Amino acid sequence: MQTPNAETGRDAEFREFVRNRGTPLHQSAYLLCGDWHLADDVVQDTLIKAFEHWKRVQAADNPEAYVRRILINEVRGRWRRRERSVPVAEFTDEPSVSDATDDILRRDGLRKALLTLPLRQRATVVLRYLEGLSERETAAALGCSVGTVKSQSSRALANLKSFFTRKESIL
Amino acid sequence: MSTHDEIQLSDDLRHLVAGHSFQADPDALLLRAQRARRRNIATKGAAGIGVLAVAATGTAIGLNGVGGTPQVQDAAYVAQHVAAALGSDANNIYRETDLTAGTVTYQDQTTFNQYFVAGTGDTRVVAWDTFVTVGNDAHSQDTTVNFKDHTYSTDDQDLGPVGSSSAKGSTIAERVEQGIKSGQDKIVGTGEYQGHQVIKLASTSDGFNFEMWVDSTTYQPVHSISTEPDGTKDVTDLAFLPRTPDLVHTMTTPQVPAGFTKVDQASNVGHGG
Repeated sequence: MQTPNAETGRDAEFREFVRNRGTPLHQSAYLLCGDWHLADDVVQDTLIKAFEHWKRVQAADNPEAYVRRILINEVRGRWRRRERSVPVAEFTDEPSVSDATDDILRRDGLRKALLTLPLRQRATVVLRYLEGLSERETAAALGCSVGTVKSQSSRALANLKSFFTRKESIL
Repeated sequence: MSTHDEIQLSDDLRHLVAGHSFQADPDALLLRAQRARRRNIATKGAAGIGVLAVAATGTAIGLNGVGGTPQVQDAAYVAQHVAAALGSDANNIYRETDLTAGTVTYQDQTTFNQYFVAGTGDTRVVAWDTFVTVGNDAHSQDTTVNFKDHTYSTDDQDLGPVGSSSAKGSTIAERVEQGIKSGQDKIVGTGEYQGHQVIKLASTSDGFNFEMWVDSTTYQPVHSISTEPDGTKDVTDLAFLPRTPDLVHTMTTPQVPAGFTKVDQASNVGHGG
């Protein structure tokens, strides 16, 4: 049984983790599921699960990677249960593009293109290019080999490029 | 992509999420986490009832409407009415009866108080999680009663001044409505279930199958079946109950039988059935 001090310590650590890592997890979750409200739910459920296994989180070589893996599994689980993001065409939570600069249009396109990727490819892009993880760290977060990360990353980038190429040809 | 493109990709991704922060109150989240851990059943509860997702291309089906007038309905029609039914009255108490796990969970969609029963008879575990105001402070008061061990435990957590913390979370209706916005489900039939004339909606994705049965009059979900690729099923009955004073009282007032021993933390695992 945990002592009261251990309980207090764990609670304090958890609060600190939420304060420090909540926002990065939230931002990754948004790119993974495409909706800020859904991302909020996903991160909350992720952190609750992390708390249930807090000893394991703390004992992990990289606690953040451990929680990130919970997050990805949470997104994957919701995907399977059909709690999917709103369709790309129905994104409404971003400001309208009144001054349509190239940057804004490109990023809007990127956001939509991301959601067309299979979940593992999308997660690879988010971990590698948003969070800046190495291939080894990404492999740890995804629970796969470095080779798989390389192949998934390569396919994802090719698919993203293809998305923009197709869009340009339509335009 | 070239290295230049990859740098651009990183930059664009960061711009896409810039300025957004995680707003959840760490104290409120800790409270939820503590409850979940203590119950050891939180995964199911957090998942809610699964989600109904309906596309506009569902199979049309004929049903008798009010007064016996035949109506031709499709999945989009059903989705619209389910959303309206759930959104029109959030002031109810949601009951989820997990037929697979043998648990019943009540959640007040207004206050987020929860009442939980696992198992039946002399081996059941009953728990109450309620939020009350004592003086100027919000409190979480949790009670767990174990009928097998004849033990109970209580936990009162001071959440600080009213308004500094909350138990806010997604209502079941919000989760279902969220799911309705997406998906490729279709109507697969009709039938009768526990006195309800139901419309059966189903979807399959990556080997997972999710079926939800909706009352054809009220459009409230009454039953769901989730099937994993390995054939494992999770079967649940659903109900949205009127928020009557008696039910609220039952949910929020712990009933500890005389002679039960108070312990630090009453067990809530392995006593079902």
